[in-house]
Amino acid sequence: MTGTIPLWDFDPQFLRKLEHVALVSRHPVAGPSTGPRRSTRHGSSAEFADFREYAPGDDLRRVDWNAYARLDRLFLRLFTAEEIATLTIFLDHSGSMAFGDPSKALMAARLAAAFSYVALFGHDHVAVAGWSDAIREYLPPQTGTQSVPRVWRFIARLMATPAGRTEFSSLRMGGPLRRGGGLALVISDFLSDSDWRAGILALRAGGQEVTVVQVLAPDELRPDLAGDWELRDVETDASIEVTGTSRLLREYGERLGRHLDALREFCRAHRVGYVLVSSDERLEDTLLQRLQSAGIVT
Amino acid sequence: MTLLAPAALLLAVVAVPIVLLYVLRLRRPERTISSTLLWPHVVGDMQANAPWQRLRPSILLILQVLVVLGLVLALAQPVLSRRAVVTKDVIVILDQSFSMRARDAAPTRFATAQARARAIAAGLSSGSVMSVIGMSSQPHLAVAESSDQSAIDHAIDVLAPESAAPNTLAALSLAASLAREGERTEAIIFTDHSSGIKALPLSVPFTVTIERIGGVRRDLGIASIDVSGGKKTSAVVRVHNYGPAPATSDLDLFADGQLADVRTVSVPPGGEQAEIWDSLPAGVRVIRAHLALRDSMTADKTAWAVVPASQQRRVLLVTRGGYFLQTALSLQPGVVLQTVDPASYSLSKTRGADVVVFDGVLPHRLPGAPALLVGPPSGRVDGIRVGAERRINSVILASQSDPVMRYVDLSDVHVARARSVSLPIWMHVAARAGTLSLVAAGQLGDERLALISFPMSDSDWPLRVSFPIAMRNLLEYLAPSTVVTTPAVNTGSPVEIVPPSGTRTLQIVAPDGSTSTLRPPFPPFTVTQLAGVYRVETEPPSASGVLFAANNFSRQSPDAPGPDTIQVGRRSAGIGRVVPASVPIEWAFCALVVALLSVEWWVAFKR
Repeated sequence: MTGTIPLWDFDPQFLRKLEHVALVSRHPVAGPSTGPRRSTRHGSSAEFADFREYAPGDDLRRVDWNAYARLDRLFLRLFTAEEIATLTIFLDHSGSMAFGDPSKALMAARLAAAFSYVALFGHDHVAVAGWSDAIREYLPPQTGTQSVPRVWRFIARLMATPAGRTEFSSLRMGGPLRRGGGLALVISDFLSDSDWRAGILALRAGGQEVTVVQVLAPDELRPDLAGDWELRDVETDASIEVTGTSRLLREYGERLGRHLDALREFCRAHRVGYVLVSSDERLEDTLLQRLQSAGIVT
Repeated sequence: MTLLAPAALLLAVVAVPIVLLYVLRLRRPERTISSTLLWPHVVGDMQANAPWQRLRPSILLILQVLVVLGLVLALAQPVLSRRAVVTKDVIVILDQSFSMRARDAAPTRFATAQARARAIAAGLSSGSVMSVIGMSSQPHLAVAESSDQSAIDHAIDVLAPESAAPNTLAALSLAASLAREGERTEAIIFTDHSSGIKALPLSVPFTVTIERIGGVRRDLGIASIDVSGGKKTSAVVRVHNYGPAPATSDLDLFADGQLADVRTVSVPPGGEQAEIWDSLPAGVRVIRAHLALRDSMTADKTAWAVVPASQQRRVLLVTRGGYFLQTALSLQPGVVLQTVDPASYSLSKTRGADVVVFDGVLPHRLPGAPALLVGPPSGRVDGIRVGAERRINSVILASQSDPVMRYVDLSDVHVARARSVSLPIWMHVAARAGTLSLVAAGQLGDERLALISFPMSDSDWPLRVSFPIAMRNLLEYLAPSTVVTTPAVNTGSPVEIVPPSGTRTLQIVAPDGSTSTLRPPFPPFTVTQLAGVYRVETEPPSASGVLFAANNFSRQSPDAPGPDTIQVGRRSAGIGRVVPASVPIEWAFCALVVALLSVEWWVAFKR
């Protein structure tokens, strides 16, 4: 896939709605600094905990103007009951993400952009890791709404040219990246014979609260294949000749169902959030309704 | 196992493209997808062609190649020859044409054909039946759908070659009517190269094997013989060369068994030569021609001809000058009339006469020849008593069924007077008026006698149409003649013999002395398979004996080159020997093919 992914065609009204959406943590998280969620390190106290120096992008409402009057320096007030979390978006930019109409890469990029927008507006830090057979691109945690363009540009550049082979073992590097906890959002099509279970467990072992968003194209969910074809895998270059028949498509559907059930069941067993997204869905519906229904955002 | 059509094995090459389909990569449209992760699990062996450039073991490939091999083997017509068994219904058609008498296939072509047909009958399996058809000008069914070998052998043995050309179309039509529904039938025509049969004149629902026996024959034969009588006897003999090389032979001519002449004939291939004799002795009855040459054919070396005999009746009329009777008798065809006055009549004058007519005369003794008494005077002779004259006032009644009164209408005949007669028991009344017998006839021993009890001068009968008819009937009754409509025929052809009225039986004496008897209504005589002179005898005996000749004249064709065996019909044409005592097993291969196709379909679409 070439060209720039049109990340900035979000409807302004949709963005305003996103500003009122927050990521849901199913349990207290340990983050790098205070923020709008509870900390696992400071107990359940809602009292003032500390100050830190203001950084561009911080919410001005948290500035301690009294300290500014006394010290002529900007400090932010931090409370023990709230801690800032880092959302790390593990974005699959392997070659298979380029397919679909609209492409899975586009949907993944828009999802990542929307999540980062929600996180940054929720005073969380956002990091982005682009991975295929390894984590090739990494955007360190960004904070503040002023970081939205930077994050979006990174995502757009990352997903403009999907390439490489999906290798879930590369997610094991995600644990060390964010050792110490946080939120992890893994966006992928999960169409790989590599061990995705090990990848997810590696993130969980790193203290990440993992959410999986599986993006599939409509042709992968409901293939329309008739006649004789030679199917070629864009990542492995393997090919297979098939003759499209109703029975063949029925067999494929059953096989796909088993594959999705396995992933869904694994996520449920390991307290990993899971949602399946078709690349032709409207993002507003996906983010505001399906992800809310799944308890991933509020 | 033997293959009747091994050339069909060449069709096995069609398996090569199938293998190539598995070896060569087919040009399919390529479609790049995100992942083939899920497809191999559902494609499996559903692929019609493996996506590999090297041959990989495939159950579909094996099945398809086996299907091809099964079909090829079935087309090769495999037979099991471990036992000489025929497992199908067989219709054997034996060509009875003249050329089958050729001796180039010892002892003759026809005998060889009979032996082969008997071999087929010997190999007939249980459940199979065999029919035998004699293919002559009028094909006939010798035995129908029989599994009794003795009956089949007998039917084969009684067949013999004839002279007429074979009717292949009729024989095949007859064979087609014998093919049992749902049964595998094969027809075998045993013929020779002369018949020219190479293809079928009609479509039949079974395989027809044409076995041509013998090779190219050498045959110089007599094609025809014609004779005529009269003051001198003439004969014309045509000699034809049916062989491929010039032929020379002495031609002997015999007149009533005596050698009359010998000539040398030289005939080119396919040519003909006519020899004419026009000064043979008169009165000769039988002419025989004979070629001295010995070649492939003996049956056409001798020919016979019967010189037509004049059908004359010598009639002696004893009369005082009766005009009507004399005129009526003289006008009868073939009648040589001699008139004698009663005063000069004596028994010695009746010698040589076929019929003696007494007009107004009653002899003291009847002559030794058939006699007709017309208007006899009163008196008595040989049990017949002639009485006084009586006037006739009643209607005249005639028995139309009586041979004497056949086609005679007496309703317009008037008779003034007739004498009363007392008839012996051996005479019957043919026409009467009241109690008076007007016409009577009968036979005593070998002699016949007829009587008209009134003189022609006392009747208007001579003025009626029925009178000459009645005279004809009376002469036929008294001196019957036998007529053979075809005095010279080909062997096997029917002869129509018309015996005289009143004939009870006809006996035909064949050249070998055997006799056949015909009874009314005397159908055509068909047992003329032997060449030679036949003699016809009647019961009661007729005035003169009748002869006719049967010869082996046939419009033969020269032998044509070509394969000895031709198979036509359901299977494709091919050349090969018939193995009549073999068990065809192509059905087993066909069944195997069906089973393999079923498995292949199941593997491809169900598994």
